[in-house]
Amino acid sequence: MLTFIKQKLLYKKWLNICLLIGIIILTAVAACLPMYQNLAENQAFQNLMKEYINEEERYPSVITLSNAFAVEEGKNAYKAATEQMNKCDEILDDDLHIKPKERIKLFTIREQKVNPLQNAGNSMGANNYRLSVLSDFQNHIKLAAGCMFDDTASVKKGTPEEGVISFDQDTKYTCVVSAALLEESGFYIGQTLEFENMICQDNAPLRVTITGVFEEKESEDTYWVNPPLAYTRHLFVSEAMMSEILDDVSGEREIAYKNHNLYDYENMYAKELQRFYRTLKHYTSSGFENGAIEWETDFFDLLDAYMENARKIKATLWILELPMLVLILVFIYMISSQILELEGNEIAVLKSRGVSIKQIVWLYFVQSSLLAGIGVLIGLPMGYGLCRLFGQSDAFLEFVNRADLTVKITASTMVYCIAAAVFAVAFMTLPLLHIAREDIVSKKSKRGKSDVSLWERYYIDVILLAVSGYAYYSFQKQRGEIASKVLNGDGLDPFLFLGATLFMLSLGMLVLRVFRLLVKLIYIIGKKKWSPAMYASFLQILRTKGKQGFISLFLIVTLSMGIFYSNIARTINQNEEDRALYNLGTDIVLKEEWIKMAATRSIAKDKQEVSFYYVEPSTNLFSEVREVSESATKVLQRNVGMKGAKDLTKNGRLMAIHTKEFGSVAWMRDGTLDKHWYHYLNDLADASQNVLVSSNAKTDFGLKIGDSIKYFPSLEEKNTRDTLGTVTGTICGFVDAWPGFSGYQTVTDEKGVRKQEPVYLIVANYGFIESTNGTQPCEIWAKTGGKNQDIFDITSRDEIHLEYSNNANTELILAKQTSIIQITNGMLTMSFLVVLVLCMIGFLIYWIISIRQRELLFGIYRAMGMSMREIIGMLVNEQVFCSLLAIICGVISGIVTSRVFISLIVIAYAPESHCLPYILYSSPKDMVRMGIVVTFILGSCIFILAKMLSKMKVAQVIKLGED
Amino acid sequence: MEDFLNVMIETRGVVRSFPVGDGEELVVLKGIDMMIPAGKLTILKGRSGSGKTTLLNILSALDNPTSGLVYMEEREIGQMPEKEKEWIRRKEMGYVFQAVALIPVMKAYENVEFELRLSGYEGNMEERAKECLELVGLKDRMNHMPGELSGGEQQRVAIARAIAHKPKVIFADEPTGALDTNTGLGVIHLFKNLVEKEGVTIVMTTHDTNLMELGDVVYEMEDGQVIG
Repeated sequence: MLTFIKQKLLYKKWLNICLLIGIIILTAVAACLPMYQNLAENQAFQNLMKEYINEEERYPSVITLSNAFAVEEGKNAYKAATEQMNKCDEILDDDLHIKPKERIKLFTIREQKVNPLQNAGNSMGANNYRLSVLSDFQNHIKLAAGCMFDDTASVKKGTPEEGVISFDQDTKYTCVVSAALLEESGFYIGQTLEFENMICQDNAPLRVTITGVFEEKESEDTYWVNPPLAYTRHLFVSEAMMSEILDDVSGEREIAYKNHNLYDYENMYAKELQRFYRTLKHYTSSGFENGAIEWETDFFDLLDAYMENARKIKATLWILELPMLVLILVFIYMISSQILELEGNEIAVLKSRGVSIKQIVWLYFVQSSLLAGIGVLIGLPMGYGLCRLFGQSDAFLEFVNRADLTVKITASTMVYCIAAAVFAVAFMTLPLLHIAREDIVSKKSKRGKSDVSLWERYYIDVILLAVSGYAYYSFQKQRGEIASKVLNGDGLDPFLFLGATLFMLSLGMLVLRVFRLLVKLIYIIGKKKWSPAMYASFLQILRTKGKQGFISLFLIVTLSMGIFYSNIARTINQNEEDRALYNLGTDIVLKEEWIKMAATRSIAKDKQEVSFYYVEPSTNLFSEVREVSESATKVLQRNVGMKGAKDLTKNGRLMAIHTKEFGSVAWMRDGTLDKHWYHYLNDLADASQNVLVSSNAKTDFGLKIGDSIKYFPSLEEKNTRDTLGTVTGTICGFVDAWPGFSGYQTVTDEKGVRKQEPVYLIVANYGFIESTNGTQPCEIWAKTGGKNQDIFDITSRDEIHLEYSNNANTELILAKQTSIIQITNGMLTMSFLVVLVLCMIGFLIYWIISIRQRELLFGIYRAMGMSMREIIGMLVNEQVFCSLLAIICGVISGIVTSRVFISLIVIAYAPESHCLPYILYSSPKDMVRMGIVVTFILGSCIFILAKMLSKMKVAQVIKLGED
Repeated sequence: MEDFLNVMIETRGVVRSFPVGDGEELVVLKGIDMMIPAGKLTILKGRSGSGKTTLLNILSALDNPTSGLVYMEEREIGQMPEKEKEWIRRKEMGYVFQAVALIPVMKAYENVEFELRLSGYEGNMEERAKECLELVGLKDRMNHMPGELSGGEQQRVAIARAIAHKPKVIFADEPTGALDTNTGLGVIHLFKNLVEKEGVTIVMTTHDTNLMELGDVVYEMEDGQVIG
């Protein structure tokens, strides 16, 4: 059978190669999905960890177990604690299946009152201290002064007055402490401390001498979960000494330990994280060792955030890739239907000779499985490659070099890949069930029956369009809810994407139906006048709708998907770029540290009034920045209180500007306001006390143009030292958006729900404020014209002290680094390219097959005296009215779907309300790319067909037809 | 002179060979000299592989002889430019093939009408198409698609199409090959009828000895040569 299959495959090698390409793409995309998901999740996790480290300056993945208990006299307390700690270690290791990279164990005796023996007057009074042991202590510290607790012999003896450290020779026990302890307590090296309530065997209180001060050996040593400076109550002794002390001191002893387990987060992946999450969740609900041992970690909250992120990533990936996978399956179905149709005669003959359907299905099943097997073998490494490639996509169809990508082939990769292969086999064998039921008689009798596709007959396009239209309508109604869900961590409803895909498909079909009617109309109008070639080709188009319908639909869907994907990606990226620039206002915003000065003046005989004023730093920064950049200006930004006529006071944001300069420095998207924003700048410049107010204040304060509005330091920030007084402005306009003003802030209410609140803005003339209230601390805004580096060079000079420095590029990079945006770009790029490849192969194959099938017919046309030119003309006409029509339908459907659905889909990426609305961007570059591919496809198609036809020998073809 | 006028097609030393690889040639027609009289039913008979279809293709301007001349009413058509050949095929020739070669996307009527369009028929196309279909007895089924007709019916539509534009010659390659004996006989009678009523010249090939006697002229072929 295998030889038979081999011959069968080779006989139609081109078709089978196309089929194989389809399977390879399917398995590769399927294998790529889990790998890409892992990659994105890992990236999201690592970003989260880095963020935590930056904010908290602590190692993020630490689980701390602690316990405190009393140990009876005579029992070895240190041993008891160690045993308990070791047991905890075992439990933790068992639960997490992973060993920590470091275990830091702190053992302490409960705080006891301590009296310093010498120079008691210097110390800041009696205090409570604890004797502690930290595991592996000596390997992580260095001495800042003095000597180690076990090394007193090496220190010169003498008195403090002689400049050397002296020790009380009677002291048995020694310890080292942190510099913070010395500073807080006033103790010094060499001092002996007496523990009032700890009585040794000799009936004397326990005495411990401080021999040295330690600090961390290396900065950024993860060992220091709590930095040395945090140990302000701990006297560190050696392990041996601790045992000795515990033996020496009589009575019951209360001891405590803390066991910090540090896990290497850099090498944690989805599987480990899931286990961590489950385990920690379990600890949260039922405690560690049923609550016997206390535990704490920040890692759980981080994991919670990660899980939320991972869910979003998974949802986004599936949402983006599901239509893609379906499309590839449809492609496979299409090609295998073509093959089966060509082999239909053979199947019918086999059946007539008594071969059972079962046997035929088995034959094709083995054949398909063979192809699918080869598909998996090639698809798996290709998926790996795709994942690496698209992991490096920075924006749509743009790649950067990221060397540190860890792409791993895991068990789930294999499962996805094989599942895809199984689906492929199913889709390859599926059309057979239909064909295998026919025998040669029913096959012949079927010929020439009317050929109308199901969707056309049952108006499925109209029904689907109505369904997806309804979906759009209901989603549009819930817009606010969707946004708030996304804002609170939920992914986008997958049905939204499904709705968009359905809409795209049904709209394409509907447009096709309408266009077909047009073709029919064109045919009928010219029926009498058409040349024979046109007449024949119109009949061909109109009477083989079913077969052509499929390729037309395929073309429509691929093209509209391509356009839709490109538009989503461009819209997200371009809007993110816009917002990054808009939120900052311009390319770079700097603020120097301004110095506040006080001046006094007498207001009465014994009374002086102190007033404050700011002095601009004398660094010349502004003029230097202005020199290197395209343009620069000073902008005053601060929070203020606002009060309108209604006596309503609310907080808002003040921006005081130099109108002319501001116009040339700040960035604003054209068309955002009802008129060009320069008009507003002009209005503002008309009178010095003029102000522009954000539109949201118009209704809330009940304001109108010409009203006056007061602004002053906000109540929360107000203090007597403020340099700004109350200023009254005249409203000259209302603006919906303004450079640097987002219009909303995200707040979390008492239930922990994140929501958005509007912020008010007031824009005033800086000159006016300066003349009435004196110089105010300003930001420097610069439009760099690409010379960011020059500005950095200036600001990195020693004498320049910046309060902050923001630049739009960095903001943009941060915005684009979010895993959701990255995977969206990666996946959309992949989908777009896959769509183009499928479109190309699908189209060429369809036409080549269609010509092959019609060779006899062309032979007849030629025999009847039609010229080659007429026949090629016929084909061109067919291409125009089938392919070109489908292309136009696809483009229309893609554009309309983009216009309708993208505004909803982008909620997933930008749920926040914002003054700068998300607008639809489409890239002419992408359209040109698609145009080139489509032209290439059509061109090469016609070329190949013409070539095939010109080689055709009429006499031979007719003869072949007879055989 | 009268003899010459009655000849529709004449061949002189027609040789047709095909390359079979290794520079060798397979000679299928080995110098054929024959005359096809006008207004008669000429039958080319012979076993399969005797070269009759190759000869028919050359006579009908579908194929070119390797050497030799083919005259159709004084015009040498063997080496004629393709364009002129197309014109002759379109205007002056009609074809009936062994496998039914109707255009599957056209109804019976449209198949006939299409031939009329192609030849630039100047009369009333609709009337002529119906007339031809009536002649082959299929006027009632003119709105059926080819797939809805039986083999014999389809062949009759093909004949109606072949005669529609009133060609000078109709070529038929094994027109009865795919039909049962009775239907085959019916087709031949139809041909006879056409020759008698419309004065068309018909050249057909067959290997069916029962049909031979119905031909006005019969050429027997064997191994690329006319033997009788």
